[in-house]
Amino acid sequence: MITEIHIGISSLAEKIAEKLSEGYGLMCMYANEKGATERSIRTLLRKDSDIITFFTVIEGDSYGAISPAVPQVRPYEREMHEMSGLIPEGLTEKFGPQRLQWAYKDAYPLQKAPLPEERIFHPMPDNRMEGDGVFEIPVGPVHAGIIEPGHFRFSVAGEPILKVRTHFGYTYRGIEKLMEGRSDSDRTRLIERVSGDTAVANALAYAHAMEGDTEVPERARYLRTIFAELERIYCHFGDISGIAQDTGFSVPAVFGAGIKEKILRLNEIVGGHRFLMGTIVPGGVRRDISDDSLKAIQNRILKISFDIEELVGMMEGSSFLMDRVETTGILSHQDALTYRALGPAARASGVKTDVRKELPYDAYGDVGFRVFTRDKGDVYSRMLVKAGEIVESTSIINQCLDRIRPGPLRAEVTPSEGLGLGIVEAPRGELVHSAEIFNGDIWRYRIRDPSFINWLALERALPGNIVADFPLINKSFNLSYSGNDL
Amino acid sequence: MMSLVVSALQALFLMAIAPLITGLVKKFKAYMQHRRGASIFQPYWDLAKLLRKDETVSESASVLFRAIPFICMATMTLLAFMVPVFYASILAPYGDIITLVYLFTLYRFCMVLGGLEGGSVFGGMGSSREMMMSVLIEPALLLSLMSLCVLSNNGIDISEIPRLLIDMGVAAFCPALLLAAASFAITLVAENARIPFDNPATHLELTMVHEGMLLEYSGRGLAQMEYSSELRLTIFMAMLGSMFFPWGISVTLEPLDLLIGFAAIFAKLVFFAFVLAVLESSISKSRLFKTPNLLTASFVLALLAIISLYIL
Repeated sequence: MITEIHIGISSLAEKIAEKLSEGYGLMCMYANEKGATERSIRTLLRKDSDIITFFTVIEGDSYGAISPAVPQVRPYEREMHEMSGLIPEGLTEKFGPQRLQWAYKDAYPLQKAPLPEERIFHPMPDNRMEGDGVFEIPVGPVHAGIIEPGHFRFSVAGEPILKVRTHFGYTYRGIEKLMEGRSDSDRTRLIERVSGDTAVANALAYAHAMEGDTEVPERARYLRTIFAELERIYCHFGDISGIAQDTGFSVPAVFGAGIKEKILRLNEIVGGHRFLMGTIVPGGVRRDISDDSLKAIQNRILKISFDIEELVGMMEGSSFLMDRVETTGILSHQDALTYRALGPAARASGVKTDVRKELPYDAYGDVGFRVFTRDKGDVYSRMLVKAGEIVESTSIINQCLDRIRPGPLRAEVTPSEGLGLGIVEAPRGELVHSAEIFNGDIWRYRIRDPSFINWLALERALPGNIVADFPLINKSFNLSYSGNDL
Repeated sequence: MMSLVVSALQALFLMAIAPLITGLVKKFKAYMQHRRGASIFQPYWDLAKLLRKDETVSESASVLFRAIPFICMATMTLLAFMVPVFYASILAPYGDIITLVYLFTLYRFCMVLGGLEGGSVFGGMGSSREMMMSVLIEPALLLSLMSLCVLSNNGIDISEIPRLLIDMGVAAFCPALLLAAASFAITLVAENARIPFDNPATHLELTMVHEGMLLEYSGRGLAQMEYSSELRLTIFMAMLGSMFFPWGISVTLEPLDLLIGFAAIFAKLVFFAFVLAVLESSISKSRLFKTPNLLTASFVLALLAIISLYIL
């Protein structure tokens, strides 16, 4: 249920604040270019299944800053500033680069005119903490392990962390711009590569954004649900074994990684790709899954709920490990609400949020499952929430396998005009794709990965912990760098 | 004369098998993780590879940075000559317990300086953490060796300890020995940067202690530092095997006795490598600020060992 409201820029801040106080959550904000539509700001708010969007036309490139009145808007305002060249007026602090350290001179990446060659260096702001015995620790973007690039600045007093600033943009590929003016098959391929381990969720969100009112065939809806849950299972297994790995607890780490690998191999048999790329297309699924493959899923799924129990049991059996994960990296319930943390990170802090329940898509309305929450908000809670979700995912897959019937796989899609929204629960939380479609072409495509918000939540969870625990806390959130950078 | 040759041989033996012991620990750990693992000779190939490589030195580093690998290796080599292995005598007879402990400390001190020399944050963090631990390792190590001296009714001469313990027969198997050995075993794990104190296999620069100090080293310097720490592990194991539990060690120069001594120490080293691998596989790294608790436990065990000698 989408309600579109046109309001002026002067009352936007007030309206957003009003809706937030009514219990709505700010899903996304982005700017449109002039041309097919007006130069405007699109605001998306959601309360369970009720979606409100504000469409605000603005004159010129500047507007009165919203974030002083509504702090939640800040990351979006920063994004609009850098990517769409909108200048918020009345801010005391200048925005540092969010993605581009080498900015364009008098131009911005999403403009419709060709971009100039010339680049200017736009350094990260050096807002460090000062004081006796306070040190700066720069970490990254090149890390010692094989992980994505990201730069972290720690202000520490000895071991305890006082403040952390994250600097990203090293995997910026300009995906949002690349989405414009392309064929549907190109876009499907591109969107699956936004973030490697969120391929299904991204493809699904893209499909939903394109489908509009199209009725997706029943078999396709069930297959999509199975794929999405398989992705969630392998992601969560990777995360839990990663927690064991980062505490140096090698046996459960290898055990968990082994199960993840088995699921990836199952994916390859079932969908033809280890990360299930190329399975979901707007209108349905690309190809059918044979009964043998469905049987293979069923056999594997049977064992997984025992495997996760064994893995968590191994980890809980170690007092050393429990000592490390309990009370470490606490994201308070209040912070989770203030920053609107998403996905398992929010659920571990006692926020009961899950798009699959609130806004059921595909087959989620037909199956029963439980939303797992814990209230401590520490590394252990996040681990338990993920473990619980694996069990629920196996149950969802089983229910889908029971109900799935032969039938058509793909419906003809007529892209809707105007706003197309795709909101799905990715393994890391609510993923929003928003497309502005005019004459069947994409004018503006905005991807809001859950990591975009959860990185801020992570920054809040760190102060007070010691530097040596950062990798563990980071792993328990396990956020995507490329999803954030786009 | 023959005694000197055998003593020298046993030090060379230690130096030769040091990488093998590390390779064994890694192999055992791999088996625990259901992996095939690299060959047990891999540490030798790694050292050979590093020796062939160029060295990169940070611009902020002074001459000390290049000198430290030599100092570290020299210290460890000297220490190899100071512990009995399969023959109850050593080539450096003037070395006593105090020298032994403080040579280890010298080694650690140099490594800490080397960590700071590179000018990188991780080296500095590793160094500061190492110093925090070393403050607690040092007294525990000293005290556990001291209790061994008191037990064997010996001065602080190292070479006499195995012989005296063997002469004591079953009487040597008293609570004091076991307590001291337990204390020493904890310092072995801590001093050699193994789990739960440090993770030798970690890739996380923010959690590193020992590896953090070596981050800036490359090529030959790294080979020297790596070899020194491999040798350190082997020396510690040899000390546990030939000083705390010397049974099997040869007290004469008879070829048969020497052969038995050789087989005994080799079996002990392999056994210790296995135990270390089991330990490292069955627990996770502890919280950094909880490591002092473990080290204090080690100190208390050593203290109890000494007290028990006087009250029992």
